[in-house]
Amino acid sequence: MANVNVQVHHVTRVEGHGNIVVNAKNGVLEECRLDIVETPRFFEAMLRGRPYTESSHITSRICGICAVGHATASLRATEAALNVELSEQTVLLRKLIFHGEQLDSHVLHTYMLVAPDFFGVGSVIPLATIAPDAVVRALRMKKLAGDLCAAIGGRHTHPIAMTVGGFTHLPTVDEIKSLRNRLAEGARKDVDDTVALFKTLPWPKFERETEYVALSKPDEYAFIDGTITTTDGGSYAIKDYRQVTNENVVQHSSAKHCAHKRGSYMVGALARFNVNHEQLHPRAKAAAEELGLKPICTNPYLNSAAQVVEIAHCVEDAIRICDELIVRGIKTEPLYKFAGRGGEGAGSCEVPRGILFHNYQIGDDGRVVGANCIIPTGQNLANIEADFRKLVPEILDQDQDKVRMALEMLVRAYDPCISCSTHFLNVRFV
Amino acid sequence: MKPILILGLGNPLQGDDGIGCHVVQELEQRTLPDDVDVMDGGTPGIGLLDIFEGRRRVIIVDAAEMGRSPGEVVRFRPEDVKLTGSAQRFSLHRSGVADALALASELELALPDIVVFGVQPAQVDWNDRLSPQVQAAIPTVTEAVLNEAKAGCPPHNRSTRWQMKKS
Repeated sequence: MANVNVQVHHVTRVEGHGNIVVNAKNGVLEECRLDIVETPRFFEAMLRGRPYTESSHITSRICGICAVGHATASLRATEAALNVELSEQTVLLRKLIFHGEQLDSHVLHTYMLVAPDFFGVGSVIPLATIAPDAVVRALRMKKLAGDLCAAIGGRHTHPIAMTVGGFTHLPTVDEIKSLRNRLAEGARKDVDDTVALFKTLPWPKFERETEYVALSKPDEYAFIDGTITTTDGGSYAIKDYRQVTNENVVQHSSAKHCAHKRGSYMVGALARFNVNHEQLHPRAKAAAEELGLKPICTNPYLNSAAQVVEIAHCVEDAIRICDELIVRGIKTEPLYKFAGRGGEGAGSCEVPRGILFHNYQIGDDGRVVGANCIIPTGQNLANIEADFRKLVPEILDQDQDKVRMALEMLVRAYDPCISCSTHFLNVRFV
Repeated sequence: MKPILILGLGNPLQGDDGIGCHVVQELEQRTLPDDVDVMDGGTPGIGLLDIFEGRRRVIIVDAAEMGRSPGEVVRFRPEDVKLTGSAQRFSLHRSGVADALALASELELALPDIVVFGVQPAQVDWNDRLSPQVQAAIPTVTEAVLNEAKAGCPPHNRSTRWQMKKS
């Protein structure tokens, strides 16, 4: 069938968002559009004029799933602007809560968005009927991750305890011990069962040469800080992020596209795997082997497999950090006091769906003068469209439903943010 | 852990979507009964199930598209209405109360008694203001929620298995 017209609508409050549009005539791709992301517009307007202390609390509200991610990038930007040094304890705690969020997000994404496709069901809800053990396992892992975040962030939802230079509330060593035990005794088995499950899934076969972008550090698999590194040889300090992103306006979309050495690049778990695989924990490397994931992997569908690998890694690294904190003990530390001098700074971290940048200018009165934010899904848009352009001609001869499914699965594999964070109910009174 | 939780949901950066959080701010200024907690839950999606755990009663305040006039407040129980969840499964960010409850129903998880105070939004978009009608509803909602909380826990001690209306 040489004519394809696939429109997948996702109803949101904002017109024109949440759609995939693919039109092909006689085997030629005419239109290929992805309106799935709503980058936080008015980002600067939300922060401008506010005290620097509020930035991380405001930005952590952009997205429920990436609250810690935004807070972390925000704090790193402010700390860069104001030259704030972090204590070893703060660095450890920030890494630990970051792992918590990574686990939370990856578990939900792999089990609740990706797995249903492979089981031939529409969502995690029918999946709960046909594979209840798997879903219960996912909820159990998610709960542990959430408890980890709550213990360090001070709250189950937004990390209220995270602040410039440190934490306003600290966990106790007993709380860390308890989490450590749950990770070692419960989560490890759940990770093994997760790898065993995802190993059996028939991942779609599709390859496209792509540039991958991720933070990199010499001493560990990077999630917070580092050098922006690309598989095409790019290497940049975080403050030079614009030399990687090169945001440009596209005609067919209100969102901007990003590109570095090629027409597009990919960020996320697969990018991190491709750039930093050597630094994965041995159990994560073993998981990659089992899943058939080898660097450099150019199959975007395997982004979800890379997330499973990161689940394994983050559990192990969280245990390591807990052990270190248990030995060190946890101490109250003095908090940063504003010195009356502003500045400009950029911060970056690898949230579950990819590299995130925050960039602030802070005045000498401590108020935000300017702010910029580039989210990972925005950086992936051009790459998803490029994947479509290669994929569609390859599958054009299949029936429309299969084409639609293949495209939806591709979008899902990227784990995109859509309409980042609204929560209103839709109610019909009967 | 206190048995009754007043849970404000929503995103205060998305206009009226944040009404739940604004109501929680009001409630934090008030004296609450000893058995009542109040929480700004933000936008937790499936994470709601973790927030529910250990509670006997949860009173939710959230923006709700109910086909009413902006600012209108309706009290309902989730099992008495049809809650539509996210239509397309692209992103976790749209899953909310509906999806969490549907999942709990499928898995036959024990859940607390749940009452929702829905507030009809006028605008949901990137801004940190409430529309005047929704702003004006805050005192009403706050009082209603407090009265609900003062009514105490449900009479039966056993936890109820969830049964969602099948659409």
